[in-house]
Amino acid sequence: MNTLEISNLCKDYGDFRLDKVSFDLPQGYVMGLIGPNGAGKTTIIKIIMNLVMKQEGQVKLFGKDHREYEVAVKKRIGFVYDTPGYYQHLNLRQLKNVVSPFYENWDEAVFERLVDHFNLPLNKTLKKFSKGMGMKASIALAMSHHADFLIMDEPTSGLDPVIRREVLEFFREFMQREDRSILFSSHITTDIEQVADYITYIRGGRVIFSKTKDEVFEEYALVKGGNDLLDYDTRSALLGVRSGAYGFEGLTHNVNEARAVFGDSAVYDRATLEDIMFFTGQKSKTVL
Amino acid sequence: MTLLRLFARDFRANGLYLATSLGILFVMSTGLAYGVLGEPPQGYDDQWVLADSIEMLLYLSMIIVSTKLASILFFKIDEMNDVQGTFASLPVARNEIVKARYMSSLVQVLVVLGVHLLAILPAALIRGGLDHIGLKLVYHPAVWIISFVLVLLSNSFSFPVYFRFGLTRGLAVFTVIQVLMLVTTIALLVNFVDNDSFFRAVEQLIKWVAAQNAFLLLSAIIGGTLLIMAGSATLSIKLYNTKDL
Repeated sequence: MNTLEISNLCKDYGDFRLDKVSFDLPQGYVMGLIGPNGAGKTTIIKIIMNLVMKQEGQVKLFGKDHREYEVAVKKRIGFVYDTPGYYQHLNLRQLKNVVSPFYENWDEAVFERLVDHFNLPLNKTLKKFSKGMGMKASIALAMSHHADFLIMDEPTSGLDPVIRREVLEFFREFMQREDRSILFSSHITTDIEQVADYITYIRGGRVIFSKTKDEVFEEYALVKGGNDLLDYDTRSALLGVRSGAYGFEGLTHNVNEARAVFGDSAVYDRATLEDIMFFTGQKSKTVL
Repeated sequence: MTLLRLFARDFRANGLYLATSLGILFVMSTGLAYGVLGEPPQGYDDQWVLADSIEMLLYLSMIIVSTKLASILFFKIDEMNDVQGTFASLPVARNEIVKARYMSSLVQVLVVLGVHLLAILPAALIRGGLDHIGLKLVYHPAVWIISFVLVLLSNSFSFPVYFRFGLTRGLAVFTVIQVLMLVTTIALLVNFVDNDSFFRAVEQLIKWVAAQNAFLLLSAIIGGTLLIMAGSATLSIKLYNTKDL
């Protein structure tokens, strides 16, 4: 069963268009949504949460249409904004008292445990919270009603490495129960490499790929070699290439094909998500 | 139940703002009432002497404006804290968000009018006691019914604009709409200025209305206002349901 099914999602802003976005997230897995700034990650998440209206396509959460069953599906979702909008004059305890009545499954004990775990002050007004504290408070609020699905928009951006690691650790804890799922967007690709099972790469409003992490790392590889190996034909075997005085580095999405082209004169390394984003972006710049 | 939770959210989250603004309003309103009551009139026993005074018009205007401002306080606080998206991401339907806001604004209007009514008492005591002749006018039901109806009508016309554009942009848009309406009205009146039959008809209509049973008239006015408000809420729901947050 899929926790999330998105098919042919379209949204046109005039200067930006989300173009037939489709991907699924099976129950029990973590999906990382990657892409450069302005790729459409936040728009997709907002459409899922019905905060932005889709123009075409379908979104299903837990097998149900996200608009028709909006209230029912949202009860099972914990949502974390990248910049959460909360009443800044309230403290965390007061905010909890405002939010908790909306959830029948609100668990005070879980909330208190999370507040304690994240070392959050309950009586300090939210306007005095740092970015990291704000994000941890959002996660505590999103998690205290036994959500089955956690949706987060850039939850780790702007956080220092210690807090980022704490948050990622928390994702792992959350996933101890196998019927739970997480969708989170980030342009910090190392975070996604650490915790995601599936990766969906969005660029210019289009899905470049949506695959398991293993599939991605099997398909994509870095090719490194001397500049003498590069010519018009060999370049076309690469998705993107960067050359300097000491040689070249390029990305392929078919290692066997690259081996056939460059032979043993080149070195083949595992590509990181950052490499994939960098070289695929570079390729499109070259084309333009 | 969700509707009540959303309604309670407005007051629970903004209780301090509300209490502070009502306290300030009480003091200001007492000052205004003190001004409008004036010294007990010498040689006049006609309470309506105040009805022609500029102070009375000013007082009525201040009641209406302050009540209107208080009724959009929750919109302002929501916008300042950018919480629209946060609350729309909770398990609530958007139409309930709209209905709850209409409800909380209606309660705000009643509370603020209540504060104005109470604020008259200390002003009257300072001005010589609760038998001050001016009290008959400032406590005249017509003053408060007119204020209540005008604020609700104003909200009914402006809320759909606020729901569509947000408060800050909505206020700008609504101001433009008001100016256009004013210009249109003036243009129509200018066209009718030489038309005696039009003004006679208006005069007859006013006389006819004034001759009706006061209770029936009051019921019709308040009922009509609430109907307009219900229509406004329906329009706001339609607009808010298609808005990107």
